Amino acid sequence: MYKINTIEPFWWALFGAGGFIAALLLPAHILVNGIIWPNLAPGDPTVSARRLANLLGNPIIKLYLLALISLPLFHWAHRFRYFLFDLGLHGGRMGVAVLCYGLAVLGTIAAIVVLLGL
Amino acid sequence: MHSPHPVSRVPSYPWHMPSGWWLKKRTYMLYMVRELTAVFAALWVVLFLAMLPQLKTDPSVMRSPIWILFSLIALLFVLYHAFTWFNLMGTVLYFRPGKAPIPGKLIIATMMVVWIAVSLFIIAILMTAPLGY
Repeated sequence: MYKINTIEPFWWALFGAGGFIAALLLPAHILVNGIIWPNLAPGDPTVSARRLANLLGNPIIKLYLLALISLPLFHWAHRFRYFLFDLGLHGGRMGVAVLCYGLAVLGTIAAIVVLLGL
Repeated sequence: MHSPHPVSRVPSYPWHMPSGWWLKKRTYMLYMVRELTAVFAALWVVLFLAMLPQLKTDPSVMRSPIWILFSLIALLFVLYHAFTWFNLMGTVLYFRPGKAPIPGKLIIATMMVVWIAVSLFIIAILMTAPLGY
């Protein structure tokens, strides 16, 4: 039986999914959550926060936000690891892998904790 | 600082790729910019997550000018990611339902249309979401 020698395809799959999320969903969110909402209704500075807090009451939205936050992190991890190789990194590759994917995993756990607690 | 890792196996020719290879051509630099877009996507998403618990205690946290400025910059990078991603998908995805594979340009165009539709849908939902209290 052919022995699979690496877990690489697993990270690559997450990279692909994260790339789709970041490409398809993120621009709209950055536009609204990052630019439009902060500038809405100058007379009532809490209006956007209340809107977002209300949306967060819905568990489906929490699940959606979990995907929106976690998958781009794994996309970054895989891409940044190879970005470092492109810059000439040769030594410490295991450490870099642990750092990159580890940060993505930590970010995912943080997202789960935060979203569950809201 | 960066010890060269020789790729050549001939000891009398210890060649390695120079670290500044990507500075030589505009296309190489754009490739590095494309890879960097992932950093901005991840950063925005992490900062957005950090903002969520503060919404109830400090509702004006979203109006921070640093957040708005960073979002503007991140949006540019993430848009560049989106367009280069869809172009990549046109090259990389291979589906052959019949005799000929689906042309890459059709895949790209379909993804662009889906992206516009999904983005408008998200914007509509967010902008019309009820306030709650």
